Amino acid sequence: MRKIKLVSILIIGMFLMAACAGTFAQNAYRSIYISGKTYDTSMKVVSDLQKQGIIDQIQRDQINKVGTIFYNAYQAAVDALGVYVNTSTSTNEQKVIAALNALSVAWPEFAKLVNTKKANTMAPTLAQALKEVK
Amino acid sequence: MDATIIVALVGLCLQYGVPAVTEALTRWDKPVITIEDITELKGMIKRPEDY
Repeated sequence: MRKIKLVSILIIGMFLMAACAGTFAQNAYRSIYISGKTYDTSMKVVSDLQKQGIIDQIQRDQINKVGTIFYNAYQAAVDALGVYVNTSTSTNEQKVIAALNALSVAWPEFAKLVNTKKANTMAPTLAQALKEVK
Repeated sequence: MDATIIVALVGLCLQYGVPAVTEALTRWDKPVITIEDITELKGMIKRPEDY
């Protein structure tokens, strides 16, 4: 329950984030941070559910498979931001944007799978999370 | 800052506690993103099978 509350905080954080202006690097950092925290919290929920016997190994393997796509997209976004922070070129800015797009594409499938195991653990999409808060 | 946001923040503090809200807020108040911040992001999450 506490973890679900944390996810709620993170969702509201996204809303607040959207309301605050910032540099490109700051906004990218915030997006990646929120995505990472949400993933981390969700995977802890999944791990707890497996320990309780609510999720079996086959279901866990499914989640791990989709989670790996999210994990790789997250790490690629962090790497792209790292390069941008060092160089601040428009080419590298575009690479960060592309990596963030890939991360937002990876989100819904992962969220859908996690939410079928425990409802409302993750917002289905970033856009929907913002609508719900508003 | 919009009044709605302030009310939402006060509500969050009452519901979840000040430390949780403060930590979340400091994350998007960072004036400059450093390589240390990037390194921290890298290690913030684990592979799915490691949970």
